[in-house]
Amino acid sequence: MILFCLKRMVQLILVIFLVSTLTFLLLRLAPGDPAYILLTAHDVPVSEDALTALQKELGLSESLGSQYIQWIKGVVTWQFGASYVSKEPVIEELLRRVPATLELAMSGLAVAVIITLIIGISTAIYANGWLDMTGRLMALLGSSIPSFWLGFLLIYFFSVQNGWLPSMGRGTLQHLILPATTLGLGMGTIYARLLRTSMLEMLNQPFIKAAKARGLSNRRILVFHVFKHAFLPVMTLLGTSFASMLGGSIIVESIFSWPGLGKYIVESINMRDYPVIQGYVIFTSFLFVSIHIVVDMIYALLDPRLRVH
Amino acid sequence: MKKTPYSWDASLIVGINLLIIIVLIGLLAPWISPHDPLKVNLSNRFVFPSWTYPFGTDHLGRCILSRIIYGIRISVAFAFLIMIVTFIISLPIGLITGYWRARANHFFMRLIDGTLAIPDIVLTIAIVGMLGPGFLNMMIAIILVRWASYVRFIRSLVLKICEEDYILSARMSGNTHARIMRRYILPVTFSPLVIFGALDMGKIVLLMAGLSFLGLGAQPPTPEWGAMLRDATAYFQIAPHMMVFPGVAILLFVLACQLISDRFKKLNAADLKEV
Repeated sequence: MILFCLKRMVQLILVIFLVSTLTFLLLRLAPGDPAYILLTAHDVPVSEDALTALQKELGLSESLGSQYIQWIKGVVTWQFGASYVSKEPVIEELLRRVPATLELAMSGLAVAVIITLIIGISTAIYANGWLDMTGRLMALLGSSIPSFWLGFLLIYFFSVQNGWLPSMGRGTLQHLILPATTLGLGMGTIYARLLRTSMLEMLNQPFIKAAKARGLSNRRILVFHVFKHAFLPVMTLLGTSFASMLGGSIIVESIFSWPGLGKYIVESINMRDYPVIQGYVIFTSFLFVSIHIVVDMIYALLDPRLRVH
Repeated sequence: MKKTPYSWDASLIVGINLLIIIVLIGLLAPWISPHDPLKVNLSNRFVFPSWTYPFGTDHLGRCILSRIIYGIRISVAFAFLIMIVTFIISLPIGLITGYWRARANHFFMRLIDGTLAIPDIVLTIAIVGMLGPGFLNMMIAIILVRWASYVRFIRSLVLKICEEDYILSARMSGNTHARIMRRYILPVTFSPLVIFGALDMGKIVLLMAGLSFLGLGAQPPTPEWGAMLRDATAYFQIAPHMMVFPGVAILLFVLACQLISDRFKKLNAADLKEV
């Protein structure tokens, strides 16, 4: 197990190294001089002096190799410099926005679980009926609907037309409902389908036959005997999908003006705030790869067969 | 539980027909669309759906139906281009890493697995952020992000094929490795790859629309569906039709791709698990 953990740590370090090298190369390969772009972004008339001064300040006048070493040093110590816009350290700006994004992703996951349970169990009970067909249709739509469009529809019906729920900002539970639903609805309908299939496949197991022989009703068997076992594989999938919730939150945050990481990065891109963009790439890569590794480790703890690799 | 094969075939047929209709409309755009998609007519702003403007007009008085029809050309054509380029990059890598299972190879896959843990949308947005918003940069970003999952899929296919006896007998009868890859492995991967590509077209269109919606991809006045939705954000309270129709267009296209790949999804999932 220790070896397993060590290997995963090496993987994490390698991925971060790869990502930071790519980040460095992309910014240097991007057309145009970063110093020039930076100056024009601030609407200052670009003078030759200002350009060379800024180039020196950003370390652009040094050789590519020493720039790269500087950058890697920064990554290792988590110093990504200061934001061009707010002049505050990037890492602080990022950390300040993490709770909001986590809150949204967690609630999205909660919505997905609730939908999975309700639709999954009911479609398994009435398998092959009209409810089941509806469930299948919903799963298809759920996997094809663009989240930004779904968010709009929800805002239109619940905020604009009826005024039931607020459409932007963060604070109360009411603020959370629409963004969380936008984030979790599609995934919920897809996993409902998986839960249904998993439950129906379980019906062939001997212990179900035994329950039937004891004269339990079909519905009772499904809810009390099958569900417990069928939910486990779906549950593990939900664990891995937390990462995609975090990813999906970028768009959802932008629609609902949710003050999290996603909204911040989109704003920073529009302002050409390069230190923030760089910091965001490294920070989120670290976050996602860590989540991936933690999930992997939990699986390995639960199932020793997986430790072989 | 029995699944009637009929229901699977039905979804495949619906999907293929839907896709053919969408592509045909896109190809015939100049003859079908009622107006010029870029023609601004400020006296005709926010017209609700009517006979002259079936889907209404937007904030600049442009015909939304015509814009959606021309949008097919942009979304589908460029998604296809992105997919082809990604295949060209990842096919040789997938083939080679699947065929020679060396130690370095294992290391390489761990690296790919690690990067795949980062959601596509996050990496794409980050890359576009560094290169600067724009359509070409968006395409580059999508290719840079998607190739890893292509490699993974192709590699898993090749691994499976290599276990077949006929590969062993091909080797025993003196074929070179290159020849085995070209003559015995590559043709077998063809049909799963088509299905994978169909599903991925939907994903790419969604990704492109999402980035354009955030203002990082297609720029105005390009009639791209996501960019149209972005325009609608400011006005959807007074002109909800601006928001409804581009969304339906994205939904239908992605749905068609889903339906086609639905039938083969189980196969794909089983393949991916073995890596």
